[in-house]
Amino acid sequence: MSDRAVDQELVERVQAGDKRAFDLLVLKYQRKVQRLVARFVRDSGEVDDVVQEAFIKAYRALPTFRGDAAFYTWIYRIAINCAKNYLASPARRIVPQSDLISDDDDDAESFDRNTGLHDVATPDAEYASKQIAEAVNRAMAALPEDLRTAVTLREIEGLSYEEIAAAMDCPIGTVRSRIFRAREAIATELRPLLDTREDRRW
Amino acid sequence: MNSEMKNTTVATSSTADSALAREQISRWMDGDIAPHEIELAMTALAREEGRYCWAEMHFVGDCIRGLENTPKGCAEAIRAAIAAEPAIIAPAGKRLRVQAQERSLMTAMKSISHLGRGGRAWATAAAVAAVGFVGTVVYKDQVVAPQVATAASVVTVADADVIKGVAPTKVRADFNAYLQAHQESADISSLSPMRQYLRPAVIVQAQ
Repeated sequence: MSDRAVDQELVERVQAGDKRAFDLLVLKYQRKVQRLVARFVRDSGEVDDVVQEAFIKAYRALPTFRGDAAFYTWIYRIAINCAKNYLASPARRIVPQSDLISDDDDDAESFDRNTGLHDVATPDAEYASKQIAEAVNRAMAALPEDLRTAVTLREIEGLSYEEIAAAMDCPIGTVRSRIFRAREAIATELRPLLDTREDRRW
Repeated sequence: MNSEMKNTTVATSSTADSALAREQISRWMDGDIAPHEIELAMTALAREEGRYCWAEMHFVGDCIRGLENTPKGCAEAIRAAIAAEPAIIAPAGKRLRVQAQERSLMTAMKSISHLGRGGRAWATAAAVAAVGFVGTVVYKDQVVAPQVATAASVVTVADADVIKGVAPTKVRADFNAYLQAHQESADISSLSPMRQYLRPAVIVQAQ
């Protein structure tokens, strides 16, 4: 089952009345959508407003979503439209056209991580982000080589478990175990940074 | 077994269950899960710790991809807003519709397996017709329900008959008014897929 098929399964559950499935989609895509919207909207509070509006609009439009496109391209498109409408509203300031992305470039993943969002983040948020990045790097460095390779192939290269098993020349069950253990190790390192209510990121 | 041992056993079992559930969620988010396990994973995700695990593992993935320096998530606010929205009851998704039709066809084929070759051919045709009918019902939202026939369309039917040399059909002049009144007063929403067949049924042959 591909990543897209997982989303489609969740979408069909939402279409059958399961709101929790939509919550799972929000948890999965909220940061990507935030990052995308932040390319249009400068203020962090306003970014959250636009992101919320995008997800609520998506929820209301889900009965018409037939799965011809991937869910993430659909939600990205809605988010871009929400951001553009937000900027076009009379009360908002105009952002120079050069600051905006083109219509074709709507992939949050392609956004340079070192630009754009620093205008949005407060110093506290920047500090927290730096701590998280350091913790992740520390945890990744401490992982055994096979766990680090497996989780990197999955999270960065987007390979399926079968492909990772072929690349690492090991059974698929081993891949499952390595990816899970790597995630657990990184999550354990991150937990102290996220355990307070204020620092919850979801 | 004393109570302390019992507690230890329960705690160990609970931890093991929790680890199992977390691994299942980890595999589910990557799509590496058997169809029969999906319900189990969704049941685990329905609990607060399951939801936390899903969020945490996606956060780990986002951090590895360098998305950690985004503003804090707003899933709680969105969840509250969605809770105030009515639940969606949409037509079944495309995949579910296709599966339903395939199941229907398979059931029909199984039921005729004892017939001879000729019998199977006829039965297959009947099954295909039945699936077509089911498809009409399932896709009823996509079928443009015909409106009450206009005089022009009725005339076209009658003219076509003349051209073919068939005895012309005569339409009862008062029937359109009757049909319209019936549709306005009766609850025919449940018949919407059948509506397209109603109008032809009221065309009567000329004496």
